[in-house]
Amino acid sequence: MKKRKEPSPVLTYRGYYRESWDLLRRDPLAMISLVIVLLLVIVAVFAPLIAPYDPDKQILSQRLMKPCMEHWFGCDEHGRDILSRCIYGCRISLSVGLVSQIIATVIGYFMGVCAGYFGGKVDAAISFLVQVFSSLPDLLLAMALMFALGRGLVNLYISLGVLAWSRTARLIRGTVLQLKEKEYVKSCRVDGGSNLRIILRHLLPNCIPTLIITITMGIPSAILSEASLSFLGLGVRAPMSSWGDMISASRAFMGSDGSKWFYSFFPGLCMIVAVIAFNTLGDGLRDALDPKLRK
Amino acid sequence: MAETILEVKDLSITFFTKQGALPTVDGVSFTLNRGETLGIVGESGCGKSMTVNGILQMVPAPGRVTGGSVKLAGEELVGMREKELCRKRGSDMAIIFQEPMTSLNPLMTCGRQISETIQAHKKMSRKEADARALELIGMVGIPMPEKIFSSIPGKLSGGQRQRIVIAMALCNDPGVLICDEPTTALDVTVQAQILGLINELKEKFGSAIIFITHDLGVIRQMADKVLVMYVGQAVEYVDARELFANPLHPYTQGLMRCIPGMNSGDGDLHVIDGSVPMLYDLPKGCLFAPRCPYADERCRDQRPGLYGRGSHRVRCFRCEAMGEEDVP
Amino acid sequence: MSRPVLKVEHLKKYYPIRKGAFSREKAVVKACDDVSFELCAGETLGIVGESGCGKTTTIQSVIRLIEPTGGRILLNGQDFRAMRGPELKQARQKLKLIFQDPYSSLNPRMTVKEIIAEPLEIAGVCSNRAGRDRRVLETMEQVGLDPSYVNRYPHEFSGGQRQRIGIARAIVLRPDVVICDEPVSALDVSIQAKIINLLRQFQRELNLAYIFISHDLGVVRHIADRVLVMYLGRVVEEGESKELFANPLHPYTKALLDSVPRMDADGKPAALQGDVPSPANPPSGCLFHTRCPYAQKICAETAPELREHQMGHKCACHFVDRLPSKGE
Repeated sequence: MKKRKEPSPVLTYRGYYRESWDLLRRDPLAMISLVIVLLLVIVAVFAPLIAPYDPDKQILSQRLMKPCMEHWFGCDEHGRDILSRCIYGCRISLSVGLVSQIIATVIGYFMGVCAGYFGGKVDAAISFLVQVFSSLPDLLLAMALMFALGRGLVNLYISLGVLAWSRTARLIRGTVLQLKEKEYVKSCRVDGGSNLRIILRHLLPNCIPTLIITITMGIPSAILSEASLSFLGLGVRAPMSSWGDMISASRAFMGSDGSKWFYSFFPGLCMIVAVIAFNTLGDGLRDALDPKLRK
Repeated sequence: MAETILEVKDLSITFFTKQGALPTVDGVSFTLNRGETLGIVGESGCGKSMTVNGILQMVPAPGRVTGGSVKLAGEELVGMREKELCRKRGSDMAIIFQEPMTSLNPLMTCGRQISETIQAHKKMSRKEADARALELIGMVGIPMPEKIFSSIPGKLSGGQRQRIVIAMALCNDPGVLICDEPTTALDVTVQAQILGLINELKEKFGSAIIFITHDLGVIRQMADKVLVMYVGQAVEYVDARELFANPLHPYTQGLMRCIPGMNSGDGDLHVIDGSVPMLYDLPKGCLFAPRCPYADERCRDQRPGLYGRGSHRVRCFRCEAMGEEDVP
Repeated sequence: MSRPVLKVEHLKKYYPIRKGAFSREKAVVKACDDVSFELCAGETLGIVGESGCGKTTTIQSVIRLIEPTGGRILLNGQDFRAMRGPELKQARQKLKLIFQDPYSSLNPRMTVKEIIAEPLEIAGVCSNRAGRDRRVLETMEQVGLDPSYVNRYPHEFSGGQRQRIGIARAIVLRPDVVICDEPVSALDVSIQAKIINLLRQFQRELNLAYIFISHDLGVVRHIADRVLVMYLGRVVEEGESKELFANPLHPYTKALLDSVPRMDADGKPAALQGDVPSPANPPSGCLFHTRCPYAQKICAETAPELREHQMGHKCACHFVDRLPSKGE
């Protein structure tokens, strides 16, 4: 028989992530939030270069100074520059958000894959654990963990990570339950592929979009939880301070005259901007990565 | 002469996409008389489903009907107001899809779905509508209609669901019933039942039927007239009997020869060379020329019209001698 | 005839079901019950039947994608069911599967090269990258895919091309047996013909044995040497393809053949009444008696055995000798 070449591929498809990027690029809201997120990251990484003053340097003569040309965001009760403290606080908030979500994702992916892929008793046990974790009040659980572990940045990462894994696990379990019925997974099993190969080569690449979305959407809630914990005095150790710490400290000066508005306003604004940016980016990513919305 | 119920003339549908304007349906014409079945056959992507979307004026974006006319019982549908079209759809024209679950509400009982469809188009009390629905369920050959009346679609088999969809389509005596691959998802024995049912109901209701399928065997059983489509164009339009006795377009001939039948030999199956061209990259001449064993210079250079005499029309230069180019 | 490469004896796959949430009563669905067959090198066994008849369960049990409940599977004379670990992995190189859906059978995040090379990696043959790549390119060439597309993703290909990738993946290890689960059902007829020709070409070149599942009787008749007809998990008829299609013995096989709308003959298909009974609650005695036009009292009481009636032509029916033969 003559061998005929099939004609060239029908579409100019340039890979899943390239196509997703094209979609994301056309979403103005997502692009604006992406720019803000990138700015926040730059601020966090280069905080020492950007901050105009040493965030911990106390100049008592500048106690509760109003915003002016030298101190755009004003100064706090110890005479520290609020702008510099916000810039350093960005480091803490962002790192808490990112690291805790990565911890949550690693635990959540592993648990979710085990539950979805192996099924049966493993699934029952993990699903029960997920149920337990998601039925506990978030903040209470985080508080309990912080009490047990003590204050500190690393403990904050851990407790917020432990807080968030159950959501990732549940999403991944659902995704894996669908993926495992796909014929390419079956065909790998027919070829004698090990479970590890299936989990790493077939399931993981197809779960990554879900993971990207959960991480992006999880960061703002971690930032908010961190703020809540800091507000309650269970955050990072002084003199380090996050946005939540600053708002907490400003509480004493929220007098009826409102003249010290700047003390709580600017850290709060930073937090709101960061949370909205991450949430909007997450929405945009979901639209860009969701295969159901693709042609 | 039988009464003409549907007249489609030069229907064109274009999709406006990033790759440019794609002629998804290009100048399709046919007429349909009461009690007649027109089969539309072709491979996936040839524009058969889009043609009926065009008839129903339901072309999804970014597509648009860009030309031609569709006359239902003498009334022009192209450019008609959406409100009036809605009244036509479901009463004067009804459609049955391949997958019955897409047209059934999984949470509503079958009977209620049918009676609601009746009530949407006719002034009728709930009681009367329910009675009519029950009667229809009996008519589509479902044993124990009362039981099925109060069942949700999920409880039924695929064949029974398709019967419910047929009952729903027929509940307002549509003049034209469009069947878009109604049996493709069914097993052969159930397919035979459903095809028999559609034929039986056609006699009873006197509807005209447009039957879309990719299966030439089904066409032979069902159709009086056949429209063979290739890349949005009608390439052959002829009486069903004549088509199977004497297919003239090289594409139709190729299609018939590549199906392994009950009497085919042992050798390799006939294949049509190459593949269907993309809408954004159509050949300059005849759309089938790159795959046609008879193609010559002229075929590659010019688009043929529909040629033919009497009721047999073929889009091929080789049939030019049969008669003048005109629109059937 | 040569020694069979695959021999299946009394294969069973039962699924336990519970009747009601609190019921202790245990029941089983016999998705595949007492299926036996032999397959020699270069031979094709067709399995036909309607959806839910157990075709897919049977082959998935044979390939141990699901663990069978009982029976023996001998692959090249060795007990496939008893194999574990490396021995199983070794044996799996000889038994491959081609799926129906060319869309869900290829991982969208892997390139064509990775997809075709995966069986090689798992089997550990061609340990160096260069050798593996050469083998992949060779195989792509063999199935008619342009090797320059090796780094592309499955999305970029049409249905027929994707099925070629699936075939390349199945044959890259030079297996003895390839199981094809409706490999052409999702394809258009002109592409279907190409894929069938390709499969037959490999059968000749590599002396492959196929198990070919399809609901399309024309395709099975064309490609298969022997055919099993299944109904509700049981084999009701087995025979040489030509003989079976020319002279079906079992009433179910006859009905199935009569249901197919034929392109090459007139006459309406004869419809078999009713639907396939639920496998969870199968009829007593002969499973087909609820729909069989010739059923007698004994059919509801005792299940007929699969007996040989003519050379190599087996049938499970009490009245096989007394039924009107085809054409009467």
